[in-house]
Amino acid sequence: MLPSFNYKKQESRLFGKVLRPLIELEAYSEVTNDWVVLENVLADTGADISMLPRIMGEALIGDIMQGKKAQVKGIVPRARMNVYVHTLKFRLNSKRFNLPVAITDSDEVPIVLGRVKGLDIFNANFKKGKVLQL
Amino acid sequence: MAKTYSYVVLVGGKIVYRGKNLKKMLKEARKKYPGKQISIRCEYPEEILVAIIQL
Repeated sequence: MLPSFNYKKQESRLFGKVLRPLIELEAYSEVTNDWVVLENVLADTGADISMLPRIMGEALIGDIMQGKKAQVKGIVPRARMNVYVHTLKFRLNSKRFNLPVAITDSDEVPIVLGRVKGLDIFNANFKKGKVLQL
Repeated sequence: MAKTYSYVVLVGGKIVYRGKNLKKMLKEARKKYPGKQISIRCEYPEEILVAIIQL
C-alpha cells in the first residue's frame, strides 16, 4: 500500500484558501535518539535539495554548523541564504533513506522535501491538486 | 493562521509545547512521555509559499 497524503487547506492572502501537498515524514533525532514525526513537510519538485529551518535542525542534530557550508537561492534575484548540509536519516512507512538536507541559518523557512535522494526515490504522483501518493 | 513561522510539539495528536526552543521542548517531551510518538509541526504564516531551491 503506497502512502498517500491529502493536500492540506491553508490560509492565503491572495486566494483565501489554498491546498498544499504537505506530508508527514519521520526523522531520526540524534538529540533524543529516537524517531520524530515531522508534520507539514512541503513536497516540492522545485527544490533541488530538502530543507529544514535552523530551529528544527538543532532539535534533530544539535550543532548544525558541523555540516558542509553552502548557499542556496530561490526566486529572489541575487538573494542567497547560508545553509549547512547534513545527511539525516528519514523514514516513510517502512522505507528508510538517508537524505541530504540544507539546514538554513533562519527559522523562517518551510520544511521541504526536495528532489535529490528525496522525492526522486519515490514514484511521486501529484493527483489533481488533491492527493500526493508516494 | 500564524503571522510568522511557529513550531509546536505534539504527543498523541495533542499540542504539549509551543515555542521557540524546539530542542528543549523535544527533550522535555521525550522525558515526560517515554515510549510515545512525538511529532513536530511547523505552522506556516499566511502568505504565498513559493519554494524553489537551487544549491
